Amino acid sequence: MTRLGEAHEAESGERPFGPTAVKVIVVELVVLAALLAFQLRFGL
Amino acid sequence: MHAIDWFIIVVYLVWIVWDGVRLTKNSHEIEGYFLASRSLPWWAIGLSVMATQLSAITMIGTTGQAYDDGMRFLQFYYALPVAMIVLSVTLVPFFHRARVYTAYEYLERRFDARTRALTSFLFLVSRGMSCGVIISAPAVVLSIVIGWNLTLTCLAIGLPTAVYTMFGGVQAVAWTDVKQMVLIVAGLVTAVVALVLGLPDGVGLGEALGVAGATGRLQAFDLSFDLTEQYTVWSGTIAAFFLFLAYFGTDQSQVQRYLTAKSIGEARTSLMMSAYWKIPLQALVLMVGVLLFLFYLFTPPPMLFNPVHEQRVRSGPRAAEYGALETRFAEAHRARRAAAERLVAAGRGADAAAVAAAREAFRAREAEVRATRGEAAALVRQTTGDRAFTDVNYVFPSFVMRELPVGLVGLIIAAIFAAAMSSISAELAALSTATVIDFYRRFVRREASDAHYLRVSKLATGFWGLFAVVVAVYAAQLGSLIEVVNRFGSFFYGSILGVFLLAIGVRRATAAGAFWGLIAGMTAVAAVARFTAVAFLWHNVVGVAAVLAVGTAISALARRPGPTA
Repeated sequence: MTRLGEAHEAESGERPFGPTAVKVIVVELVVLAALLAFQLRFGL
Repeated sequence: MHAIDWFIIVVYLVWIVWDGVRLTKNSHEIEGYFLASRSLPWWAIGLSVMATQLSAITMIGTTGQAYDDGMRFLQFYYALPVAMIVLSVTLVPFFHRARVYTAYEYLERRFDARTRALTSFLFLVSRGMSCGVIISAPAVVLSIVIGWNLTLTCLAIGLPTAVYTMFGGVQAVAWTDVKQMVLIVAGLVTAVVALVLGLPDGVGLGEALGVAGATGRLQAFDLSFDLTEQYTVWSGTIAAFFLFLAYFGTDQSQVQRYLTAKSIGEARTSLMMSAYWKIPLQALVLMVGVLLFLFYLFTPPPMLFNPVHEQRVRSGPRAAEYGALETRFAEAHRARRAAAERLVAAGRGADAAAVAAAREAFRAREAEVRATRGEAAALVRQTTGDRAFTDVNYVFPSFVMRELPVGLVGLIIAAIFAAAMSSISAELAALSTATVIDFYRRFVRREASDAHYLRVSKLATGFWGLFAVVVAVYAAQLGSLIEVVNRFGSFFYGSILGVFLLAIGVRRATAAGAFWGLIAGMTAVAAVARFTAVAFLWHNVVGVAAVLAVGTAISALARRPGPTA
């Protein structure tokens, strides 16, 4: 499926999606870490 | 309710209908009506998608859930960003390239008309019914808390939405959603500020949150692996992942949104808005519930938040019993408040043992309050015969009506209306699209002018709007129907996703494999729901697995060469 997306990017000239995907994952990890810190600070 | 609050709500309703209807001028052909001529910017689509998901049920039900149970529900969304990435790489470019109007249209190209018609039909039935529930659930609560007529409340939510969606099409849906989203967030932020300001002098927000934490209400990570438990990290990351793939990837109400984008890049970016903001936004909604708990820790709450049911018990034969419970509840609340203040005071010192003791004492008082509320709810169930009675959905609207000043009441009730309407409008547009494209244009009239299809599309939108209002009025009277509709929807989400995965991921899959795989998937989910206690989020995984297994097997059998003569 990833190949499908990459092939399309190549043929259509769309911006590569990889960097955006990495950024989304990093932001989610930061948000989850903040929630965990919040739980540890106030929730126990 | 004060005249100023009424004025705010009426102004909102008139303005939103006017704003939607004026977009009629941009919807003169069917592609403009259903897909906004594939011209919308990513931020409008992204906000519209988020507004659709943030329904009035979220504002009323999720805040009540957090009041009662805390932030555990947040775990449900942990897989959403990853699901958005997967969809951006797979289905988004796929649908864009296919130049389809509906997700199901693609299934005919890949398999056959039968598979397309069945999946589209399942969408129409489930979404048509759930549209009614989206109207009826908040209408029931608002009509009781504010004292409005139930049928009129259903009409006040459903009809304006049907009017602007019918005339303005998907452009009206998207642009009104953007404005409604602003109003919803403003309402939520206002509630948070009012609740924080409502804490007693001398108790800081951090100290109050520490008290909420002592009850487990700030637990956003539950690592226990229990298939019967609805919200854990595992159900939120594994089972919900499939639900989000199914919802955003195969549900027409969502697919239609990113089909309105100018390009694949814009469609992807619109989904990324949800990927970035959905978890923080949901945390804000849940935090309103936690702050409601803190507010009523220091301010005496009603024992039950549903005044109509309460009144029925008071005027019934067990009124004395209820009165005794109220006395006990008031004492339990005072004791809990004192215990909370002792916990706050202990937290300011450095004595860890004193803090632990104060926390244990507070938990014991909290358990007493919960037990008394539980007994009162049981009494209501016995007296009224409403076996599903729960008052959590009434906590937030009750707070708004009792505690907020004039003006803010109107603002937040308008925000609840906006949340309901933004969800319904997208559903109506999607229902109309599936009706016209997958059935009318496919099976009834294959060749007709654009003007003809446009007329039929508007009629279809109006029909679904009326259908939703009628379902809402009946669903409101038969409370248990709401649960039936919600469960019904979860029966085939995973199965429909399975068919799309077969279509895209299994090159040798055949039409027969897809059709019978879909039937097998729904049967498997029905069996799991009927005979096991497995939580409904996992039904999506069961559906996907069954469709892929049966669909692949039937496809392989169908392709096997027969004996030669």
